[in-house]
Amino acid sequence: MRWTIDGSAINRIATESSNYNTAFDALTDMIANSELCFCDEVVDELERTAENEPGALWAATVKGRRQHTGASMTTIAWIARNVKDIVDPAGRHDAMPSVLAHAYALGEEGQDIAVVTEDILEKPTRRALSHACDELSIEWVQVPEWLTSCGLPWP
Amino acid sequence: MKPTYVPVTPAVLQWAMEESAVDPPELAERAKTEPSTVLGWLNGEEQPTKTQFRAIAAMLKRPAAFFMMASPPIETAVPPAFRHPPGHPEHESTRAELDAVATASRVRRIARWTAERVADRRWLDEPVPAVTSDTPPARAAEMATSWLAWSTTEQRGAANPSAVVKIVRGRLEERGVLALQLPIGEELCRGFSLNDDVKPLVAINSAYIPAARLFTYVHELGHLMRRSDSICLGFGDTGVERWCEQFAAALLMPHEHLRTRIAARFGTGATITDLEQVRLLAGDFNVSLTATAIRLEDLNCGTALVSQIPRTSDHKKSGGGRGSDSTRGAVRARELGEGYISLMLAGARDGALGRQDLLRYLDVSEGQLRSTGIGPLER
Repeated sequence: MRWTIDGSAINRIATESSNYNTAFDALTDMIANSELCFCDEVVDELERTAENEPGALWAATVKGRRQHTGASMTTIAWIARNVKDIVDPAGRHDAMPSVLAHAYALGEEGQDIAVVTEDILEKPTRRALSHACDELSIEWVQVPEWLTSCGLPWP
Repeated sequence: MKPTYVPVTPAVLQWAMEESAVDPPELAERAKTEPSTVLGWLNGEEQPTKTQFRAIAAMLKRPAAFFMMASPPIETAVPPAFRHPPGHPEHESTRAELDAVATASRVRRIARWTAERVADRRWLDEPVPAVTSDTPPARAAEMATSWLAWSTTEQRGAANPSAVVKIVRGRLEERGVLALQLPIGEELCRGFSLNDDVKPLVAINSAYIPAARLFTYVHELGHLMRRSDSICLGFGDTGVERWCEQFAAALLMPHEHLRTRIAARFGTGATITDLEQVRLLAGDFNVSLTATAIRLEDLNCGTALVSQIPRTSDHKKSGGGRGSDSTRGAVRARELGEGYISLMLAGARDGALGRQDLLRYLDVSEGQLRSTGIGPLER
């Protein structure tokens, strides 16, 4: 299994983990082993929502080691055109459509992919990432279950 | 190396340019290309490179995926009447004005959605009384004074106009009105209002001095009493604007209070004729020179006063506001107001909003949420 993680999940680890350094060290190893990735837009979003915070700093530190950095513009366009209500028209720093496109692209390559996200709630501006994943039959998991399944402590 | 082209949807690009009042030459300049190339993007014959696309997204303030949607949004963030405000046929709303209205529309939409989930029924249960065009402004002012629990004594006793602005903004927010304070620029609209049956909104331009902002807050409340959307450029441009002006003046300078002050300062029944007299009375009520002059003329207590007021008297002095916290969190807190922020925090506490959604809707970082008085938030 390979995972792609979004900003909401990285932020949750940074703010709720009792030892986020240990957690991020383990995630760094997973990045190096190509088990975990995130798209460029997640780095941009974290710079906005977690400026100088551990989650954004971790993402900025390991971004150069990623095997996959995001979907092609063609795939993002396909997602934007075919999955309803996933774009917040004024959500300038919202990485969600790119995260979904990234997972979709990896899935199309035949990889066993799942999204790690906390974006599970209905919202006024667009649909939740978890709902969009369901529509495209992409697996998704929240942070506590994911870290536990990886043998990492939580919280 | 072959450039990567981005498959933008022409109709979506066109929509975004219109929403932001950006024309092809302006977009071309930002994207470092020719206007004819932008026209090529708009008719679908060409596509922007990735570098040009980043410039487009930044200038039009939209996420990248937005430009690749199948079609533009059905809803427009800016009411059509705001593009060419009544009474100003020559005025085409500027990018700053449209951006401010778009920001406010988004805030209202998010606030309304959240209010319905956290059972915030303040406006629903006790909205400001509705009036019609036949309601005399002074009568409407009495109704609003009661609804706001407004006290002229408290207003006059405040340390300065800024303190009164805080009071009126707080009173509006306590009653469920969103009260925004946005930087729209000098010489541009003083404020606007967006009517709503759950979360109405008033926004004022922070480029004006506090005394002018105070008048605009109350003026916009007048529009809400008329249950209408409005963008307000100057003074008395239309019958509706004139009504709101008289309403605001009546609320902030009630007839008897004003006559009492005139008598105390200049003698019973004195006629006000010069700017220094207007300045003294304006100080008595913590309101602007312009508002005071208008009120005095309306009550036949003075003549030819408005024409004496310097055109820029309501504008902030350059360099003003120095010393205030300019970090993004503090700026957002000032702009969005306590009403919206507390509603977002309530939404997060009640589980209606996710933490990342909270950060997005306030446009702050985790650290700013903790350090600027917006937070902290318990998970």
